Amino acid sequence: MFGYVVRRLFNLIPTFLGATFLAFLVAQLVPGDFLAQRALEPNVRPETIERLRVQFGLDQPWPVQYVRWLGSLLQGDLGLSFSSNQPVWDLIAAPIRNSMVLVVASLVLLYALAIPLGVFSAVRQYSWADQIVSAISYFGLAIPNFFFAQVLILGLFLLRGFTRETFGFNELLLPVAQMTSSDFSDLNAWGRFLDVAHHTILPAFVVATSGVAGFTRVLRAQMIEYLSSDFIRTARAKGVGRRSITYKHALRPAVIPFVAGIGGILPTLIGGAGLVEIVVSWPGITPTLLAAIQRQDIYVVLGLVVVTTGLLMIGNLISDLLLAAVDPRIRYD
Amino acid sequence: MTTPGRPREANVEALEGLVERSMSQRQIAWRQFRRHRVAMVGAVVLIAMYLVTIFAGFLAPYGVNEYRTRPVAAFRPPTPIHWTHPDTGRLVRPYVYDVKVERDPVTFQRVYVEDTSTRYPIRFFVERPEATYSVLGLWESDLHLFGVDDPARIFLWGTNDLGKDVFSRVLYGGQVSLVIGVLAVWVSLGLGLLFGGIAGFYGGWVDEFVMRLVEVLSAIPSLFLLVVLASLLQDPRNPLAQAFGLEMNSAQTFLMVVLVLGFVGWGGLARTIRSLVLSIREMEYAAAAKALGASERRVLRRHLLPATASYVVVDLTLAIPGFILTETGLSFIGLGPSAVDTSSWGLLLADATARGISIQFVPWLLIPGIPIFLAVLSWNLVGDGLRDALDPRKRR
Amino acid sequence: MHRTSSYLVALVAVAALALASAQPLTWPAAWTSAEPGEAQYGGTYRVSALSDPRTFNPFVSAEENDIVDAADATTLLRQGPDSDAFIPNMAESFEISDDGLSVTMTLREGLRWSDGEPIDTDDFLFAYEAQTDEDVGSNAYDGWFIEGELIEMTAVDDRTVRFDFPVEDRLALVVAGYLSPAPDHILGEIYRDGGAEALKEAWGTDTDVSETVWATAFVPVEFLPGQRIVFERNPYFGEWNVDAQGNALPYLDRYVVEIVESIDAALNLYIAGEIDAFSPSNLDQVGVVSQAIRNGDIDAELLPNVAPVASSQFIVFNWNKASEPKKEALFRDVRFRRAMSHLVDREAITELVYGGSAAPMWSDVYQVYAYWVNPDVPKYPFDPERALELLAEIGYTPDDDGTLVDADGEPLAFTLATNAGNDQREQIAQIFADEARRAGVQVDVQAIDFNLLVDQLLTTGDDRPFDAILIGLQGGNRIWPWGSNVLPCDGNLHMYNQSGACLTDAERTAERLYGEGRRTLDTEAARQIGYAIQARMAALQPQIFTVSPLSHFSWASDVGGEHPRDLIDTVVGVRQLPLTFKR
Repeated sequence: MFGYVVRRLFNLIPTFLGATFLAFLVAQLVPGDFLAQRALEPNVRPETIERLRVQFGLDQPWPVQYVRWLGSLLQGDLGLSFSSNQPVWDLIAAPIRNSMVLVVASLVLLYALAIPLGVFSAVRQYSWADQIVSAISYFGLAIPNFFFAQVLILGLFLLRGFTRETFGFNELLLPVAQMTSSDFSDLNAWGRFLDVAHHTILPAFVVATSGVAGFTRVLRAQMIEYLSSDFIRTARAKGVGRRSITYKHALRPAVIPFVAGIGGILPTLIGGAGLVEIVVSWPGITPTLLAAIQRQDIYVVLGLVVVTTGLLMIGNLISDLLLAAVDPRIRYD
Repeated sequence: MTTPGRPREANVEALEGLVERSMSQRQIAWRQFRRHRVAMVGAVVLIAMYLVTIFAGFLAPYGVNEYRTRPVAAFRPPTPIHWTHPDTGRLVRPYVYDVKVERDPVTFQRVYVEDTSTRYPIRFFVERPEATYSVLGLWESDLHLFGVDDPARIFLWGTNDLGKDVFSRVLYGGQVSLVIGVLAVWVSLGLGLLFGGIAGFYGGWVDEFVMRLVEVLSAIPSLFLLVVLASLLQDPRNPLAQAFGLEMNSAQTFLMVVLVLGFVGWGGLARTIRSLVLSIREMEYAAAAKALGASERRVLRRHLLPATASYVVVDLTLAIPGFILTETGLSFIGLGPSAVDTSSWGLLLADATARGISIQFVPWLLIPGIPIFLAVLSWNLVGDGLRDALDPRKRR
Repeated sequence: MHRTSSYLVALVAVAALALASAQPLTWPAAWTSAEPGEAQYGGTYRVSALSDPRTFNPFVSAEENDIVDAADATTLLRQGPDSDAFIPNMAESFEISDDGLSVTMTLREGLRWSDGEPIDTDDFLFAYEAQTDEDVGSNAYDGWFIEGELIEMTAVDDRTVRFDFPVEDRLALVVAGYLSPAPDHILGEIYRDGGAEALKEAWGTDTDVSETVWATAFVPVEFLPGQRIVFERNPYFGEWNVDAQGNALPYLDRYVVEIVESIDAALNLYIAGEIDAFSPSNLDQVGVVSQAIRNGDIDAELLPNVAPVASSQFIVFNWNKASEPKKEALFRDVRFRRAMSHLVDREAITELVYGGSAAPMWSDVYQVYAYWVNPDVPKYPFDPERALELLAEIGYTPDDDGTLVDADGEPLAFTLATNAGNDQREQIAQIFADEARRAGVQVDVQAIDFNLLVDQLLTTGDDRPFDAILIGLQGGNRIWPWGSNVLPCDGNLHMYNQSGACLTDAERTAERLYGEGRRTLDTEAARQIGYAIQARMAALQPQIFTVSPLSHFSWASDVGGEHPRDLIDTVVGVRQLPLTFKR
């Protein structure tokens, strides 16, 4: 086991380097640079632009820039942002943390929605209830995230109008933007937690819905397979109760791989959270990434790529190990 | 893009069963598929949508970019169609009224008031030289299913900010949105077959290299690749455009979006194909065929390809809706097909989303969400149906 | 940003300014709509901003650091919302020499940083030194050079500074007067110990904001990246700033800037009651706010269609296309460009793109600088027939399909590029292209990435890669509304012709008039020169201007202290932050 982990970690290195190289290459191919935009300011002199280009090292050929950047990366330094002259890490740490809040929340919601739905469909397979559950789970799959978020926000405003007319209740049920309220800093730790949780519900729900369909379908298939397998039949013959069969004997083996397989769905969730972050103004990775791409603040872009790539790789590794831990059939040596 | 957690390896075993009965495989699969009611509904919806798309020009009363600057027709709500005579109340041939524009003093939105002085009956099979179209590039025409006489206009689903007919744009939008996924899948398939096939067939360091490449690609967040590639490929100075003399008009931008989508999606496919090729290569029947004197080409053509095909078909079918959704996302951040003279469902939806909550004044702009929903749903249903039909263990 | 004035007024004002010393700055009653004594102390005012401050360092931000600026500028001189004239701010008086080549300013007494340290000439000198150090790379660097020569700043004594200008120049006083102090006892120490590199690294967003010191009315006390900045009242600001009744400013306890990703998110926050002010960017948003007010969702004031913004979209043709001599000759032909202006339907653009809320633009000065706008420039309004006549003069006549072709039968066609993702530009491009197509001109609209567009536009030489570009610029000021790199033929924003030399007499004249205008201190005389520039540029049509959208403002009714209604406009805004109070 230990040997396997070491080998896997060792194996990650070339992939990681390859990813940074590819990302650097692709980012470099885009014509123009950070300073090209400053040149549009009505009082900036071309000499100034040239001087800054040298200062930022943008006058060097890109392989030189890459080697320099990689050199500092190996020392744990992600470089400086052009636009703020700040270490990249200081600029991207908060967005990454904020995105993780959203991703973890949507992951929890995803499990909370998909597992009951999957079990329900499996137990009543081919019934009309099963069909309705499938239809609901497909809904999340077939509607673009950013659009769904926008429609929900409008719905919340319309709901406020309705509750005001009927009950005199003139408040929004959920916040429609941002991650915290403006009085956040005055709250105690518990209040802060609740405040963030309150803001997280809407985007996390939207992100989770897109994953529910795939999850429910596979879980349902697995459950059906287990429910019709020999060991369940044996259990039934021995007189084990229906509930116990469903939840103990079939659900557990069917669910464990999903729970352990977090690594596999992380990229999908991070990607899915992206456009929702823009709609609800969530201070996460995607708005930061898009702004940096637009500004061509290339080291911020690369910093985000490096960190998310690293996170994804480690997530995959952990989930493989978890799988091995819970599934006696998988052994690494 | 593909749904998380779908077990891939399981299907490899399933394929052994498939190939054994490859003679009657197609009939069995078809019979199985037909029994899958939901999938059949999906297939029928898809066929209907593609048919409508082919004849979009005929069904749409206006051209994709047709609008007038005078009088302004921006954000006109769906045109009410009247069925009864205003005085007698008797059922008459359906007609519409022309409108006059006013401004709401509170919301500052334009309000269109019907001018009931003249009735404009809806005419069928009208010729409008302003809106010519071609069907599949074969047949040019200006005949439209329905229309009304000037100056009245008929907007079944209202108009957008420039006063273009949303109904017509949704019909034309299918020509981009329904096609983009299918084309992108071919790009992915081409790359996936090439790299996956090479890796699986040659093995060794080639395999190692290709799989590393796939791993590297999948390690980079796809949003980054999408955004950077999209902005890169839309530059007329990009190497591809230089090589082929492209000027990056809307058709070429569309192709670039297809390329971007396909390029970001091929990694997983290559991996699947490689493992299929690898496992099948080592299978007994392939060895048996070889032992019986079959050439390597024959093994590849008669045994490996069909076995791979059924699996790949399912995978591809399920990738198409993902591409359709990704196109909407790209349009949302302004990197989709050129918004200038094309219509796509993603662009239409991005237009609606960009209005923020002021969409409440123009709710008809939400309509393009419906075809996207239907198309993505139907492709998923068909894909699931196909998988069940092609997987012997799921037969019933 | 800089709202500038008539130099002449400034010159006349000099004598009157040697008033009694140790006077705090009294904010005139004319700057607020509040009744005397109506303002109360306390309360929080919440607004939104579209981007993070990427640093708190006053020297390194590449973009204007709006958020910190918004907490009110602390400059030597300032201009009020009611007049363009310079008035003393942190300086209590200023004096311009007779030859116009130097200005002497005396600091007010009792100026203090938010940590209680006094502000003296060292703080201003340090700010000057850091801004003029190339290695620091400050945004203000270029402003300190006039015709390539540095403005010199010296301390006469510990309360007096003098600026020496290399030549007479209208913009010199702007640069000197808008100098803000930087804390010499903190940042100055860092600069002296570690040089430019150390200075650039100071006060990044990782710094605890409570360690930073400011002279402004509000000082940042908390910063959550991507979420908000919380400012609190600076107790020392009131020592030198009082209202017309002599009460210390500011009134508010707290000022909160919510950072949002989009204007839509800001609108959502506003009608959810989470922020206190919002400027709708179009009539749709005005409608949403208006409806929310009517429905009772929020209690707020709304001012729609206030004034044109200092920005406009224009089309620029490329005069340097050596590889396509036919196109180059066409784009250089003034008749062609006038014909294109005749094909720009400004009325339709106003209606369709801006929902009816915009004003047509004919000269290269934004209408918001009304004093400078020449109303009598030649205009080439929407008139397709006139366009066809002009194009026929050049040799383009309609063929059987109505397409305009030259003698060789080649159609009149060009590409118009604009940036993808900017809806307004894409729509303007499309309306123009459709109108042109109707007239027989084939315009192929390309929406490309913004960086690529800028990159193409700023290419230099005799063969540049675009035909025509639709883009917009913002900015300008009221002292001399032309940027230094726009009119001179070698300027990098002389976008139509980047060959490095003037190609037409009109360009040469404009270049000469530009220099002349800057050296003319008399404002009325400078305005006449400006009129001449506009007349020449409008006739030349190197940039075909479209329309300027109008701005709209809204704020919660319990926020008081806004400007009187007739002062509110796009340049001075709705209110002075120190005079703002919560009811």
